[in-house]
Amino acid sequence: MIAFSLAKKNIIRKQERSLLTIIGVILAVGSFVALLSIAEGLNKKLTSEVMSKNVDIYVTPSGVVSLPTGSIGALGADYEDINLDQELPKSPISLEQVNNRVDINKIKKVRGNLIDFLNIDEEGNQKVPNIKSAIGVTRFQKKIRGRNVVFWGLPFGTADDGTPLFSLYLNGMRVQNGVFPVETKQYNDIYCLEKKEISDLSNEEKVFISGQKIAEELNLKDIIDKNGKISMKSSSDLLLKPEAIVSFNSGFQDYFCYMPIQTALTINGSDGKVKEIWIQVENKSKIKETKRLLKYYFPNFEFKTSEEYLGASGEIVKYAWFMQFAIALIGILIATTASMNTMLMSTFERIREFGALRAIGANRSVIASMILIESLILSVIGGIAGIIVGIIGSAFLDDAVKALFQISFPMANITPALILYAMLLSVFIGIVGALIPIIIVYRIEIIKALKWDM
Amino acid sequence: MRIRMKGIYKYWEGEFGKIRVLENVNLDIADKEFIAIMGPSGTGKSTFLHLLGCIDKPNFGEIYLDNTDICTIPENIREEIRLEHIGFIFQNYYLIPTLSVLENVMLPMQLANSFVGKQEERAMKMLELVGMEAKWNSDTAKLSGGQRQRVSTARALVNNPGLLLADEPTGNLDSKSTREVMDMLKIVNRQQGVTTVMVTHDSKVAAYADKVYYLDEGRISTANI
Repeated sequence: MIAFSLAKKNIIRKQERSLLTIIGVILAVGSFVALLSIAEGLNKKLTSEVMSKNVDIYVTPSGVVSLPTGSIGALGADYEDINLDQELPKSPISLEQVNNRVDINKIKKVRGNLIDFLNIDEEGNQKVPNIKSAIGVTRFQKKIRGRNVVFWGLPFGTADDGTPLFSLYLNGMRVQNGVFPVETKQYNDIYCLEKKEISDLSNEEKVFISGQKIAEELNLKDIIDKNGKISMKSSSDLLLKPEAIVSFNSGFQDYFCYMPIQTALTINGSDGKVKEIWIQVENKSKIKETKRLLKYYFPNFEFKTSEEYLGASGEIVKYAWFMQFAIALIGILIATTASMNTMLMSTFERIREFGALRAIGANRSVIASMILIESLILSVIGGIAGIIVGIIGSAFLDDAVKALFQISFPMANITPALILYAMLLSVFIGIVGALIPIIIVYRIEIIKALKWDM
Repeated sequence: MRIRMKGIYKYWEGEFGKIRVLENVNLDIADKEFIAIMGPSGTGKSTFLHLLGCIDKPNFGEIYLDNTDICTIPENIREEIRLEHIGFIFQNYYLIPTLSVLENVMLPMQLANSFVGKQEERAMKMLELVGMEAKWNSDTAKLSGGQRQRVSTARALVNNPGLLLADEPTGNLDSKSTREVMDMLKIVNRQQGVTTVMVTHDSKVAAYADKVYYLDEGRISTANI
């Protein structure tokens, strides 16, 4: 208690120096929070994105490490399209037969074709059992209204029960009875610009569906007239006609736009090629066996479960985390040195005072506690302020990253774990800052302390 | 508190070997006695006081405070003795600059956890004793040298010590303040019955003591003043 009281009073006495230490810690913790919020946000969104999708196996070209966000510059290299035409299965099946089965241009039947491709050999026997459904998907980026927007091309056909096919894969999309919500009042911020059932949309239709967040950024709501009809004049600058705004409330999906795959392939110029194939299995417990068989028949493809897909992305995130931590480390080192320097100066100035305290009966631990508490008070105050600065800084940094890497969605995310790390970091700075002064006062003799001359 | 020093030797490790500071010092100080140690600078007066105050240890010899040999007991017990049984007055006062007058006087009680619930009352009583009660809330930096030494004395006495050690208590004071402080120490010695050992090089100051000893070249003798 007395140590706390003395520490507190010394901080108040040396206001300028205390302020400098606090500023040092603010810079360290602030840069730590701001920089790592990007990696934290990416990690959180990726996890949410991958785990919220109803995809059991992702098929990509071999040797590809991808992010489910698509091409986002340095954060996730894009890769060559999957050219299904050139894939030669190991089973005795003619190229012609394969080509017929993977005629992706007949996109309305993409689901059936892909299942055939993956599942049926030339005699009509099932090659890879346990496959429930499969779709080919593509993605590309286009600049709309000054923003880089990621478009996903997905099959817009319907499942047997009339549910939009791709909504089976994009878990969390708010779709009711196979129809996109149409009433603004009923669904608040989710609405269809034109009253239309999703099943009415063909794969060739020049329309797109926008995620809610990107719709806000693109001001798509501005083009709806009083009757809920789309004002084509206002939307003339858009790439395509927006058909609906949907909300997923997870991952990046609210920041993407979706369009029929044939339309996407036409726009993107990758005729007949998809970026990924998404597979759903009947029995999830047999997923490894299914994957093994798929790999056997299609050795040039990479087959990844959701966890593996996330794991591969996680490697990139981990790398980003360490890179950002390394940058933040510079700030941390500066702050720790500043804190240590302040505490050292403060200690040397007060050596005689400590000697007097020892002489009147204070033991070493009281004085060590005093130094430690003083250092911790400064670093924790700096830590709390640093977190606030970091949160503000992360918003600016996020904008910079978005502009630099041409990303359409926000990356930064201040997670409770990040705040906890930041607080632990400030405590660490406090402890390290107090360490050498404590060693000095522990070792110095009372007589030397009393005769100490700066 | 009765003090007995037997065959005390103290050396410093110097650049050219050992420097003799105290040599075969033998001294008995009776309970409640007020003694002064005189001598020129650098003759070991302060070292003598530090040995009595459990701040330093002799190379050889025994020092008994009442019946406890303070040279052989562990450091934590020496700390306890310093805190609860010894009061220190320094030439440079060594008041804690971040604390007010009252807080400085309360400090030894807070460290010892003594007079719990009555610490403020006790500190004010000590300030009255040294005539500083009116300045209880003052910043110590704004006090004169004499006033600081009074506060230092109040702090030294607050835990009701059996032994008061004063190291050149008037060394930084003018003649008026010197008289005031010495009168006060004399009163404290008489009223509180505290054994007082004072180190000084000033014979006028030493004259306040019951007995005066002379320390020269590490040896102690009765002084003729």
